[in-house]
Parts: sequence; C-alpha cells; structure tokens
Amino acid sequence: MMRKTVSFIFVSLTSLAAVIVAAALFAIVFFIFTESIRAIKEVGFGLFSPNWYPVWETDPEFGVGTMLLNSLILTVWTSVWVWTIGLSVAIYLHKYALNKEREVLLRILEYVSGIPSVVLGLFGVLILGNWFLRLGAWSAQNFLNASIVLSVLTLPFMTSLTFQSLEKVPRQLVEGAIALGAKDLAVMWIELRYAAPGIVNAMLSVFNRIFGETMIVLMVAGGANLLVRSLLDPVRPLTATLGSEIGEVAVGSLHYSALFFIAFLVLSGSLILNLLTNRITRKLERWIKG
Amino acid sequence: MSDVVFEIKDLYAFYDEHAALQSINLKIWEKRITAIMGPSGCGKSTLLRCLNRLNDLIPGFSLKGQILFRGQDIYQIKDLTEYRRRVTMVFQKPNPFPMSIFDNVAYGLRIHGITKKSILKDKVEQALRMAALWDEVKDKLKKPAVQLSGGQQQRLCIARALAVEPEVLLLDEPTSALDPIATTKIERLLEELAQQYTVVIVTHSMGQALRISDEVVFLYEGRLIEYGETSTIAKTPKHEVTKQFLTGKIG
Repeated sequence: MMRKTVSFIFVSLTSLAAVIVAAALFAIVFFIFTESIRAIKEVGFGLFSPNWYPVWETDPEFGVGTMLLNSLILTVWTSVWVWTIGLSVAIYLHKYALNKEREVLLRILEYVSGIPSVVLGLFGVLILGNWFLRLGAWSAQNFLNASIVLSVLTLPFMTSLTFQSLEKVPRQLVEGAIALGAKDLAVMWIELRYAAPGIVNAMLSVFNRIFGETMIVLMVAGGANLLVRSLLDPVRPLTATLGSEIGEVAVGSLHYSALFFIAFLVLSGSLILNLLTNRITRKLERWIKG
Repeated sequence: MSDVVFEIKDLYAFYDEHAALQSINLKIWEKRITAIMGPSGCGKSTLLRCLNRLNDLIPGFSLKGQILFRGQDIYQIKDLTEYRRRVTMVFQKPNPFPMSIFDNVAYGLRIHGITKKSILKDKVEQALRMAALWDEVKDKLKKPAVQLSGGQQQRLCIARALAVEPEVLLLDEPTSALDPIATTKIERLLEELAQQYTVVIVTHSMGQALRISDEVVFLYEGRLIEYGETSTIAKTPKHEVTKQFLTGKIG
C-alpha cells in the first residue's frame, strides 16, 4: 500500500515537471514569436536585407542578413576547428596517452570548462586583442579573436565527451578486430563507429553552443555589421546585436520587435539543431544497440 | 596421424608475478577439434589467447617457453596481421562490429587488402554459407548486425573469422552465452568445419568436449594434467581431477 502511494506520488511529480517544462518551452516560443510579429508584418523580407540601422530618424533599416551570415560563418569555421582538434586530442588521450598525461589533461579540461564565458571574453579583449594589435590587425576585437575564444570555451566539452564515448567501446570489440589482424587504423575505425552517436552529439552541441553564445561575441567579435572578408575583420553576430541593444530599446517599438525576431531566429535555430541531433543520434544507435 | 599445427614447448605465462600457466607441453594436430578444459581460472583462456598472441595487449603479461606454429616460433613473428589471418579467433560473447552484416564479414577481408566489390561479395557469401547463416541473412545483408539473435551473432562472428580463409580457428567458450538450440547449431557447424580447419575450443562443458572434440586437454591450476584422444580419456581417465570432471562432480 505504502509502496503504491509513493510510486503514485513520484509518477505524478515527474509528469507534472515534464508538463511544466513543455509548457514553458512552448510559452517562450510563443512569446518571442508574438513580439516579433510586428516586425515581420511591417518589414517583411526586408528583415533579411543586409543593413541594420534601427535608430535612424528618417529611414531606419532592420535587416539581419549580414549578422545571420556572419553568425553562420563564425559558427561553421570555429566548429570545424573545435571538431578536428577535439577529436584528435580525444583519440590521443584514449589510445596513446600515458595514465599520468591523461589524468593531467582531463583535469585541465575540467577546469577550463568551468570558466565563465565573461572571463574568457575578458581574456580575449585584454590579452589576445593586444597581441592582434601588435601583429598589425586594424581591430583588436575581430573574427579570429572571437573564434579563438569560442574554441577555448567549447574545446573541453568536445574533447571530454568524445573521450568518454571512446572509453565506452567494449573491450571485446577491440580484441575482435585485433584478433582478425587489424592494425591501429582499422581498430580505430571500429571504435569510432561504436562511439559515433556520442561524437555526433558532441559535435552538434558544440555547433549549437557557438551559434547561441552571446557574451563572448559581444566582447571580442568587434561589433561591425560588415560581412566578414578576412579573419581579422570585426564582425557582429546575431546574438551580439540582441545582447547589446535589448536593454536600451523602447518597449513596443519596431526596433524592439525586430530584436525579438532575432531572438526567434536564434531560438528556432537551436531547437531545429536539437531535433536533428536527436534524430541522428537515434539512427546511429541502431547500429550499436539493435 | 596428421601434421602438427601447434607445438607448445615448456610454456609459462605470467600476469605480473602470477603464473597463469606452468610448464605446458602440448601438440595440436591438423584438422582435428582440440578441446581445452578445466575449471574457471585454470588458465585455459590464457592458453588459447597465447596462440593468437592476443595477450600481448595486456599490460604486465609475459611469457617463457615456445609456441611453434608449423615449426615457426610465433613470438618471433613481426607481421602479426598475416599471422592472425591464418590463426583467427572467436570470443565468448558474440562481438559483432557496429556495422552491417555484410561489412562485418567483409571487415577482415578489407584489412587484408581485398577491396574489389565482386570478390568481396563472393567471399562474404561463401563465409556466411560455411557458417550456416546465409539463408537466414541473405535478404538483410545491409541491416545492422546487432539486430540478429545471440546465436546468429555468434555464427556471424564465425563467418567473419572464416572469411579471411584461416588455417586455425580458435574459439573461447563460444556457446557459453547461448541457449541450447543455438549451442547445438554451433557444435554441428564446428564438426563440419573440422574437415577443413584445425579447431581449438575452450569449453567448461564436459558434455560439449565429449560431443565434438577429437583431442582433449585438461588444465588444472595452470598445469596440464592430462591430454590425448577424447575417447581414450573418457574411458580411462588417469588423473583424479579428470575423473571428477567426467563424473560431473566438478565442471
């Protein structure tokens, strides 16, 4: 009897929590979308034009095209580096590193992953920025600076998640491959196949994290709404605009609504990416779990 | 009498200080089924894994004595890839790779440099037929191997080992994770395979050893206590532990 009551309470509590979370998510999407309706109605496709001059008296423009492109370019560029380096380091840690080495490196990664993004941003502004100026860049805050700081932010995550997935590969699979005569690369192939769901999950999460990261790009990307042409150009991704302007805009104005449109873009981007991640991971898991 | 495939001379095996095998002297004959028996921890898996040099991977493992494969000391071999093609291994728990049924069987072939599609196809089919699995999987070769049942997975692993055209098949308790029906299937299969291959099987089941093996090796606490033709030993066991095994007191 007692048992039944307890289990009933637990089931109700978890269901309640699930419903609340789902409702909250729905409410957020709904709220952000309704606030951006005005901009969608009044500006229309102009929202995707390149120019963003929201506070011009005569003829304000609300185009997010350049920011969106800059966001995507920055995210793809940085992700590819983080994926490559993270995967290589994880493979090294898993296969070749000495125990001591592995311990120290994992510890360091753990500490780095705990650094608040604003502190990383500060490091970008003060130290990296200074170096960039000395090396002859025309702006201390720029695309490359942001990319480096974002890499520092996401690399620990990519590396440790990939490493963990590789460590989970059952010993008997590795032995099975070796017993057939497989050399390092062929064995690695089996391990990567087995770890694929975890690795892909890490990759897409990194992408999502970079796309949505605000504080760092606000501080070190440079803030110019120009399409990036060189690594040292200052840029302004979507999130930076939203972060810097939302505090100063007149509530209910067209500018306000356009900022909500940006929020809507960022949010849908991350939701779609999450759905995609789930989909792909589940597909890949079929090869492991049957 | 057929040819000697393996000759083991005064073999000792150590995990760090612990001696897992002591003073083993043994011959394994071509195209026969040799069963290695003994209670848990007697060193039977260690002995089998030495034959494929799989113990090289274990930190702290060392070895004294000699294992000759057709007269050649296997611990002097540099190119293990080719050696392991000739002497392949099937494990206790089915371990299909996370890929399709076809790719599982083709894996070994690809390692050994066979990449032409038509040849791969033929060889995969041939291996699956030999493992008595072809009819069950021929329509789903592209499906994940893990979707097969346990017994099918184990036969797939046997097919994977056979695909590289080995001379010796090592099996480490291949049926201990399977139900009786799947076990029977695999035992039948091994008897058939013994016409072409040398089979060495570790088993803890006396019944299995009696059913399928030609030769039987008894290990006890790392030492070889008795070995010879299965039928002879079954009738006239010399050692006390062997007797207990035969009467079902242990094992």
